[in-house]
Parts: sequence; structure tokens; C-alpha cells
Amino acid sequence: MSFIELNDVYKYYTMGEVTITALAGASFSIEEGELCMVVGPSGAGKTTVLNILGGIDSCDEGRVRIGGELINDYSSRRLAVYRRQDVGFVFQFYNLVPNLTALENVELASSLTGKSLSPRRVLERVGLGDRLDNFPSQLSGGEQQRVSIARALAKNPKLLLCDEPTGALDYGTGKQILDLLQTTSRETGMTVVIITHNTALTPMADRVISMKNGRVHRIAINDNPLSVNRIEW
Amino acid sequence: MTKQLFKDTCRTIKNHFSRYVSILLIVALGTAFFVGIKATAPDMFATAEQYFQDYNLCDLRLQSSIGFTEEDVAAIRGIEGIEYAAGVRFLDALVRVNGEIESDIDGTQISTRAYGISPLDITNFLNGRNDGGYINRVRLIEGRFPMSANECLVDNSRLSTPESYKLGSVITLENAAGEQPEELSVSQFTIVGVISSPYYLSFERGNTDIGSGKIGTFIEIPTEAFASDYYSEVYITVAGSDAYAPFSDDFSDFIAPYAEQIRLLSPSLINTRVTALRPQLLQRIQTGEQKIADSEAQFNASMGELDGTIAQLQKLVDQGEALVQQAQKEFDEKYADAKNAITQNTAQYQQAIADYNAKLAVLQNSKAEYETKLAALNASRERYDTLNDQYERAYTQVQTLETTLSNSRKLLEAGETVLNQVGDATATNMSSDEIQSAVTMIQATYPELYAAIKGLTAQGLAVEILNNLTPYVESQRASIEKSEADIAAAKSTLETVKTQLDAKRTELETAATQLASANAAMQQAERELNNYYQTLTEQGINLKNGDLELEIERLTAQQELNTLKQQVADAPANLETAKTKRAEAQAQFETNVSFARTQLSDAKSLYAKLDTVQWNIFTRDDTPGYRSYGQSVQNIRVLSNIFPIFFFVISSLVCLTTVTRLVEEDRTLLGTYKALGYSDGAILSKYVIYSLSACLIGSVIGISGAIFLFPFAINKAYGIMYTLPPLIYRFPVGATVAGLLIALGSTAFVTVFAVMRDLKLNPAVLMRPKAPKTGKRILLERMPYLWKRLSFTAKVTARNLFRNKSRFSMTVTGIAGSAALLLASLGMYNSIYEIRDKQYETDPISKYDFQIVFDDPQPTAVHSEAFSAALRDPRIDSLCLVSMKSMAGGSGRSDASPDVYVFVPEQPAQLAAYVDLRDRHTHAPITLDDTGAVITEMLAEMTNTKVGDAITFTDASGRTFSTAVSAIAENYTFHYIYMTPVVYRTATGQEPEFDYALGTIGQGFKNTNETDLANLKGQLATDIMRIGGVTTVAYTSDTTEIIGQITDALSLVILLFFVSALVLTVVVLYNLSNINIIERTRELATLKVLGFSEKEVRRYIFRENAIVSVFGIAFGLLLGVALHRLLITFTAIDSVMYGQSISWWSYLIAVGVTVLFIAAVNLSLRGKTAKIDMVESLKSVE
Repeated sequence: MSFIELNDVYKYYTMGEVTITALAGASFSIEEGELCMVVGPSGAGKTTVLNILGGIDSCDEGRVRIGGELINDYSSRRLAVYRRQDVGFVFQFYNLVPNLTALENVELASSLTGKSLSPRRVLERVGLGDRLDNFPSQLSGGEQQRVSIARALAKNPKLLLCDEPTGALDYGTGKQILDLLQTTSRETGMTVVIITHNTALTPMADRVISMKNGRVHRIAINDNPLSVNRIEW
Repeated sequence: MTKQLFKDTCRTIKNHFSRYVSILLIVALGTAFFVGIKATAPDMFATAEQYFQDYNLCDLRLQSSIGFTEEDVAAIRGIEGIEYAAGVRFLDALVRVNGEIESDIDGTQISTRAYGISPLDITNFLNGRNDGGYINRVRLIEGRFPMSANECLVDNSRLSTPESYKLGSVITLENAAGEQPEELSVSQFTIVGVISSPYYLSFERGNTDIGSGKIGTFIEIPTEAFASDYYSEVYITVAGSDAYAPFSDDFSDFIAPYAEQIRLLSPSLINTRVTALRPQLLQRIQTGEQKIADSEAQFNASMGELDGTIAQLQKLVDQGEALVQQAQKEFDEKYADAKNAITQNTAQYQQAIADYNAKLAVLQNSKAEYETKLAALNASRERYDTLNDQYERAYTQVQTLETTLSNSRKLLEAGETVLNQVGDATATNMSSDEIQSAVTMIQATYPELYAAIKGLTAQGLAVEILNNLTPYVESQRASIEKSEADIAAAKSTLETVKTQLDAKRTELETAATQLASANAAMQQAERELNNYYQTLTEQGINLKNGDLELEIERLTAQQELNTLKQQVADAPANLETAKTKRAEAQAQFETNVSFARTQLSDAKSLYAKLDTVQWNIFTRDDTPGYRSYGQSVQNIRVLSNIFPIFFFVISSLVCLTTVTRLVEEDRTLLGTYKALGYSDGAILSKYVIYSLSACLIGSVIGISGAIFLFPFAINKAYGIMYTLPPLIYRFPVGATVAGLLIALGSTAFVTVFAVMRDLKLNPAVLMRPKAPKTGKRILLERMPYLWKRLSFTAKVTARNLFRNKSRFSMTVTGIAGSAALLLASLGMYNSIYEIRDKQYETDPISKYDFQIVFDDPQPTAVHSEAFSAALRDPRIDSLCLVSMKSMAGGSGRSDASPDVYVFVPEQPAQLAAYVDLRDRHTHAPITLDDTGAVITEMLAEMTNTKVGDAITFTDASGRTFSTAVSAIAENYTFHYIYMTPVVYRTATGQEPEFDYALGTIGQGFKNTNETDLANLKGQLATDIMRIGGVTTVAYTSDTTEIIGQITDALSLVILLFFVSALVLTVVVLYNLSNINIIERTRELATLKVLGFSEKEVRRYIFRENAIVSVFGIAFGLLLGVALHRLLITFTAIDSVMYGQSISWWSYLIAVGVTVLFIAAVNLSLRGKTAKIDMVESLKSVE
């Protein structure tokens, strides 16, 4: 059994009188420890998939199984625990609390769970050992995203979900962030799911899920993913 | 502004409608409060002014102890500038309603001031013809005006008028002796109408010299009901006085010269009146003395009778027990013997009855025996009679036989004769005669033979006779012979029987004789027995009669004994009754006599003072309730200048927050508009329209509601004390314009301020997301010792709090404002309440329970008859004689010249028991000594006087005196200058005139329930007023009560403020908290994604709210104290000092209520945080 299994998942959004089908029977699976990229054009349903995986949204039909548990049956309270214990989330716009220092932003997350890692150590690992006491506004975008990743990692989650992590970053910084994510996946064996619209990044992933119109268009397995440094786009 | 921009504006309103409404509401509240309270005082003033004009309230009023004549009134009317002067009769009397005594709140018979009302005035007034001569017109509220001399109008104050004053009830006026007052020709009046008078604005009715000394109500009766020929008062109106606002200083200044003119005019008029009055008074004094002497004599006589009865009853009470015992003993002894005798007699009688019965039985036996014997005798007799009859019949038969025999013999002889003859004749041929005789003889004796021979011829006859006759004769002979034998035998038998019968008869007769004698004996015995019975019956009756008599006698005696016992048992009650009767008679007498004495002493005192009589000239300020109404309304005016500021400040803050938020959300849009080429003004107009339209609508709603609601509510509260016509609502143009300007101006200002902050930036910057506020170290972090000890969440909270300083300060201000308003309202309540509490109730300054006012100054306590008489009353614990003169205080250091009481106790050492002179701050007692005067705190403040300074006081005749101040004492009502007689003499060169006494009621009498205490006070007042030389008695509690009612009314206004403050609290808190959440949606959504539970998210945000609230409340309390201070300074009433401190429970309530509302608001916002969608966290930064 795979670590993540989506089985014929449907998701509808009702906007006034219009119903938009965001997911129209998406099915795929991701193995534990894989770095998986979900790609596709705007409106393909990538973010919806991520939201459902992260427990911040629920599907209307189908089954979502993570680590062997059906999370689409979870109550909102159980979902909160799921998010707190099992999921790390990296946002496109970092979503750091501007009023907290880098260290405090990480502590904000690590204080939530018992199995957390040392915030200081995590920040050192993402290369911000000397910026611990800086506020987000004193950090560059890449640094902020590193704090965001550190915040997600500090909880020591089973699953790291990244929503366009390089979307707001310049090329070089984006590369560094992706490298960090790839390294993390490799070193810790954490399952990482990255959403991006940039298909050029796919060679670095173990598994690439292409989406189109709410369905899985194609799943490709990379037996030999490339190191980020070797990818250009 | 383009059409599109306008459309965008409209849609913005629609999309942010709740924010729009919040601006609208807060502005509505702010303007409502401002305009509403602003409108109230003018409305109330206008209503009073209109009332005074419409009902022609007097500008001046004259009173004099000798009254006024028509000439006096005419003379006054002659003064230039006087519009009109009208003489009015009134009478103070006690009241019965429908024959029942009506009680005042203090339990004494209610007194009333009955004014004469002229029917002509009424008619003119009703017909609209009005020459201004009807002054102090009454306002008819219900019913109609009087049409005859025995109808009246009653006043309608809810506080002073008893329930029983209803249309149709009959009011009887009587004097203190319960008689028809001599000033009246009619004393019973039917109530036909209910009125109010501009003269009596409040429930205060003033003082009188009858009853408890307090006028309870006023009524109006037709003037023709008065018998007196002089006026009691003169009402005066001054031409042109309507041009001046009542209650104003201008008004007083305008009136003052006329008062002076009247004063100048008075001496000659008084002189004329006095000359006329003098002989009348003398006459009255003489009559009065005679009357008192007469009624005393009569009283003494009737007292003697009553005393006799009481002595008798007393004896019964004292010795009754012994008397009863004695009588009981006698009774028992006497009737024990009698009872024994009766028992014995009865036994004997019973015995005799038994004896009689035995004898009766014997007699009845003998009777029965006799009857038997009698029966037997009778039977024997009967048998004898039968036998005798048989014998008689047998004897008769024998005699018959003998007769027959003798006849037969004759026949035989005849036959033989014939035979002989015939035998011879045959032989001789018997002649025919002889034959004929034989035949005749045969015909007679032998008829058969005759038949056989009848036809035979003589010859043949003879032969035949011979042949036949011989046998016959022969047989005849034989038969005769035989019969003779038989008869002989029968005769012999008969003889035997006869002998036997005779024997028997003798026997019978003996027996009868015996029986007869027995019978006689028996009858004798029966008679005797009957007699015995007769005797016995009589004896029985006697016995019974005796018994009965004895019983009756015993019962009678018993009855007497019982009567005695009852008498003894009833004796104490009877004695009480008799004593009560005596007391009543005494009281009645005393009432009558003391009334007569009072009248006499009044007359005497008036007579004595005739030379010094003056006219008392009163202005409107002396009218009951006039000043306090003006003062109350003035207070509202002051409040209207202070409280609403807060509302405006806070509503501006809310407005600022809301618009700021709107602009932040529209930041990109702002840039877009700018980039499209819209001018700053056009863009600005969108937001100005947004906020100003909300503000305008809010203002209109607020103002239109408030100009009715606030005056209505406040007037309603004051309506408890003041009786005025319905409130006149005037559209408050000034306040409305001011309110609109302030509201619109402040809103426009904050809007422009908020928009321009961003609008200054260039479009490119605007279209980029706003650079997040830089995190900063906060002050707390510079204190590592503290900072390190804070938990992580506490650090986060602390940082967040200080991140947005403007919102933080706004929220703090909002909460602080609300808390301050709450605290200030409560504090005002405390301050008002403290006036009464500290001055009179808990640890009071004025410790005396009542003050007695004497007709004349008393020399010293020991030498004052009236003082001593009052002190003898067991209910009075202590009294002290004081001099209290109302003068004008001053110092020269300020303009203030308040009315002060110059208070001089006869014995300064005693003062502490009546007035607690103390320092307000240290509570240290102040001793009044000869080093100087002690003045009260408010006076010191007003005149800017400190210890060691001089204080001045000016008397009615304008002389000013001065003395040094030795101490300043805590005091809340009125102003006092306390000094010893020595200081007074030194300062004034005069002796103090002790015309007051302060008194306390014995503790034992005070410790009763309220009703009893009120009754006691009423009775005590009545009794003290009976003492000659006492003018009136005033209770401290009456003052307290009036203050209580005033403070109650004010409390209602305060309550209005309190409730408004609450509404403000809710609106502000909700708005600010709501915006706080909306602003931080992204942050909160992120926290949720990170795995914060709902509870943790709520805590995260509400912990901040809680801390802000703590700051807000703390700041609010400080602000509240300041506001309170401001209020008590600005609303200060002349002669009253508010309590200066706020009670701890007010702090508690203010904090509690604020916390409660914060909690409620936060609770209501729970849903908001729950609704935040986590997907929000993924959206791009605006």
C-alpha cells in the first residue's frame, strides 16, 4: 500500500449559481519518502489536491488515504490534529507572522507538537543559523521561505506540502529552496509534495503527477531524478 | 466623480454594509446623546417659562403678621412699574377627608393651606378676559372650577397629596382644636377639580404654625368662604418681567428695585393698620383669657368625676382578689349546711312514703276480704228469700184449700138441708117456694145437678133431687173429710218450715250486722290513710319548695359571686379604659386649651410686636421648589456639555478604524484608480461619501430620536418632584447644527486623514502589496529578566499587542472611554448619595433629629420656659439652644456671596453632640473655641478662604462683620459659620439671639420600625408645637427625605447616562474586535493550517483582547475619576457639596460591567474565528 492514495476524488465549488468542478475523479498514489511534483496549468486542480492532502479542505466524493488512514472521514477536530502532527505546509507567500522573529515563527509551530525538532537546529539546517532573531521584514524572500520550510520541518511531519514554493522567488533563490526540499526529502526520508506550474522542474522529482481539468493526466516515475543544481529553466 | 466611481462607492457600501452600519450607529448614538441632552435643559426652561407666563406667577410676594388691607394693596398697585398687586386670603388648617382624619407621612393630621380664589377671576380667566389681576393662576388638570362657596380645588402633587383627595370627596377644614376656624364662614368643601399652581413647582409646600409644622397640601376655596376682612398675602407682578428668563440673574436684578420701593412704602401703611388693630387685639386677648379660665373650670369638674371612677376601679384592681376569696368562702360555708339539711329531710320523706305505701297495701287487702264476705252474705240472703217465697206460696195454697174446704162444707150443709127438706116434702108435698129455694141453692152449689134438673117440674124435681143429690152429698162429704186431713198435714209441714226459716233469718241478720260493722271500720281506716297521704304530699311539696328556694338562693348568691369575680377580672381593663378616657379628656382639654393658649400667646406676641411689624418681601427664589428646579435644569445643561464629548471622541475613533481598514483593503484599488488617472479628490470623495453618508444618516436618526426621547425621559424623572404642564418640545436648532457639524466634521476629518495617508503614495507602490509592518523589539524585551520568564505564547501576545500601536491605543481608548463613563455615572450616584449619607445618616455631621424654632429669642436655656417645657418631654433626649441667622457670606477674595447660616451655640461644649465638626481628610474632630470661627468646606472653597483668613458675613440690614477662620469643617448641605458666643460678640458687638433649639430623640424611641417612628415624630412635633412660644418644629429626616427625592430623580438621569455608556461599550468593543479579526484573517488562517485548534486560535486572539481590555479598564478608571471630578465641579449646586469620592463598589461595578461586556463581545465573535477559511492563507497578499 502506498503512503498516499487518492481514489476517484471529486471536488465541487459552488460560486453563487455556478458549480465548478475542481476535481473530477482524480486518482493517484505516492510512496513514502518520495519527492513528488504535481504539475499542470492554472485551474487543473493542483491546489485543490494539495488542500485535500493537507487537511485544510475536504473532498466531496472518493477516498483519500494517507498512511493507511482515510482522512476524508475525519472530523474537523481530528483534521486539526492531523495537520498539527503529520503535515508540514510551505506557502507560496511564506505566511510568516511578521511580528515574530525567525526563531519565534518556527517555535510557533514546534510548540504545537511533542515530537518537534529543535527550532534552532532546524533553522541552522536551512542555513539561517545567524538570522535567528531577525524579523521577517529583515529577511529576503528566499530567507523567509527558508523560515517557512523550517517552520514546517520543525514539527517533524510525515508529509511536507509545498504550494508553489518558488512562485514568489527569483531564479537563484528558487533553486536554493528546491535544493533544500530535495535534500530534506533525501536525508530524512520525508514524503514531499510540491505543486508547481513549472514543468521544467519535474526532472528533480521521484514522481511527477500531471493534472488537467481536474483529472490526473499522466503519472511519470523518475528512476533517476536529477539534482536541482543540474536543472536549468 | 464619474458615474463608475459613484457606482463603485455604492457597491462598497453594499459590500461592507456591517461596517457602514457600525459607523452609522456610533454616530447616531453620539449625536443622540449630545443633541438629546442639549435639548433637555432648554425644553425644561421653556416649559417653566411658559407656565409662569400663562399662569401669571407672581414676581414678588408680601407677607406680614398683621395682614394687608385693601388700602395697602391699592397703594402697592400705585407704585410705578407694578403691573398688578392682588390681595389673597389663605388659611392654614387641618384636614379631614369625608369626615376621617387624613394623616401626613409622619403620622400627624395633614395640614393644608387653603387659598381664596375669586369667582370673578375664574370667570374672567375662563372667558379670556384678563386684566392681569389674577396672579398665580391655577392650572385645572381634572374636573371643573368651583361654582359655589362649598366647593374646592385640590393640588395634584403625587408626593404630597393623599390618595383620598378625589373628585367628590368632602374636605373639612378645622383648627388645632378640631373646630371650624373662625376665619372661615364655611368649612366643608366638595372637591370639584384637581389643579397645579405655578407657585408650587415642586412637592414642597412650605411651613406653617399648625399641626406638625409642615404644610401637607394646598387647596383653593372660593373667597366667599372666608370671614376675615384682611388679606394674608399680596401677590405682585412687575410690568415687563416676562422679558427676562426665569431663574436668571437678570430677572432677579430686574425685580430687586421694585422690592426696595415696596419696602420704602411700607412703614406708613403698617402704622395705619397697627393703629386699627391694637384695640381689636386687646379685646381678643381678654376674651381668650376668659375662655381659658372657663374651660379649665369645666375640665376640673369633669376630671373629678372620672377620678372617682378610677379610684373605685383601682380598689377593685388592688383588693379584688381578696374580696372574691372572702365571698367565695362565705358562699361555700353557707350552702354546704343547707345542702345537708335538704338531704336529711329528703331521706325522712322517702321513709314516710314507703310506710304509707305499706299501709295502703294492707287496706287494700282488707277491702278485698270485705268484698268477698259481702258477696257471700248477699248470696245467703238470696237463698233465704227464695225459700221464704216458696213458704209463702205454700201457705197461701193451704189457705186457699181451707177456703175451698169451707165452701164445700157450706155446700154440703146446703145439700143436706135440701135433702132433709126434700125428703120431708115428698112426704108432705113440699110447697113451690121450698122447691124454688132448693133449685136456687143447687144452681149455686151443684151446677151439674142444676143442669140436670133445670127443666123438671116441681114434682119431678123433688124426686130427681132426692135421687141425685144424695150421692153428691155423700161424695162431697168424703172429699171434705179427705181435704181436711191433707190440710192438716200441710199445715204441720208448713209449721216446721216456718220454724227453720225463722232460724235462718236470724242467722242472716247477725252476719249482716257483723259485716256492716267491719265495713265501717275499714272505711275509717281508709279515711285515716287518705289523711296520711294528704299530709305526706304536703310534706313532700314543702320539702321540694324548701329545696328549690335554697337552690335559688344559692344560685343567686353564685350569680353575685360571679358578678364580683367578673368585675374584679375586668377591673384592670376598665381601669385602663377609664384612664384612657381620662387621658383623652385631658388631651382634648389640653388640645383645646393649648390651642386657646397658642392663640392667646400669638395674639399677645403680635400685640407686643405691633411696633416692630414689617412686611416680608419675598421673591420667586423664596418660592418652594423654584430655585431647586432652576438648579436641577442647570445641572442637566452642565452635564450636556461634558458627557457627550466622550461619545464624539469614541465615535470618531470607531470611524477612523473602520475607514482605515477600508482603505487598507482597497489599497490596490486606490493605486489602480490613480494609475487610471483619477484625481486624489475624486478617489477621496468615494470614501468621504461612504463615511459621511453613514454619518449623516446616523446623525439624522440619532437627532430625530433624541430630541424627543431624552427630554421626555429626563423630564419624566424630574416629574416625580416637579409638577408642570406637559413638556414643550422645541427643536434645538443650535444643538442640532452643532451636533451635525461635530459629527460630520470629525467623520470627514478622520476619513480624509485615513485616505490621504495612502493616497500620498504613488500608484506603483500602492499596487504592490503593502510592505508588512516590520516586527520590532518591544520595550519588554529590553528587560531580559522579565522577558525570559514569559512563556512563548505570552511573548507572542505581547509582541502582537504592540505591533499595531494605533489600533492598540484605539481599543484602549474605546474601552477606557466606556469604563470611564460607567465609573463617572456611578461616581455621580455615589456623590449625590453621599450628600445625604454623610450629612445625615451614616456617621452624620448633622446629628440632631429636629430643630425647634421659637417665636422669640430665648435668654438662656435655663431661663427659657419653652425650652424647659420641651426638654421635659420624655421622648426628647437632649436639646441645645442655638442662634442661627441667615446672612450673606463672603471674603473679598472672590465674588461669591453665598447664603450662610451664622451658627452660635449657647454652650459650645455641647455642640459636638449635635453637629460633628471634623476634617474631611483626616477625620479629626474640630473643636469650636474662642480663637475663631469654623466654616464649612464648600464655603471655604467658594470664598477662597483658608485657615487663618478672615471670613465676612453680612446681615439683612447690610452690616458686614468679620472674623478669623480657625478651622474648615466637612459639610455637604448649606453653608455654616460656626462660632462661640464670645467670638460672635467680638465680631458683631451684639448678643446672639437664641431662637433655635437642636434636639435629639431618645435612643429607646428611635429603635422602632419606620411607621412607629414616623408616628412618634408626628406626635412629638404636635406636642412641642403646643408649647407656648414655639413657632415650628422641623425634622432633619424631612430634609433628608427631600434630598432623597431629589437624588432619586438625578439618579434616573445618571441611569440614562449609564445605559448609554453600556451601549457605547458594546458598539466600540464589537467594532474594534471585529476589525481586529478581519485584519488578521490571513494570520489566523495560517495558524489553523499549522494545526492550531479552534480553541487555540481563539485564545491567540482573545488573549490579546483581554490584555488590551485590562489596559483600557485601568486607563478608563483613571479617566473616570477625572471625569467624575470634572462633573462634581461643574454641576455643583449652590449650598450643596457633593460627596468627593467614588465608592469601591462603583469601581467594582464599572470594572465588572466592562469585563462582562468584553466577554460577551468576545463570545459573540467566536463564530467569526471559526468561520475563517484556511484556504485564505494560500491567497496572494493584497
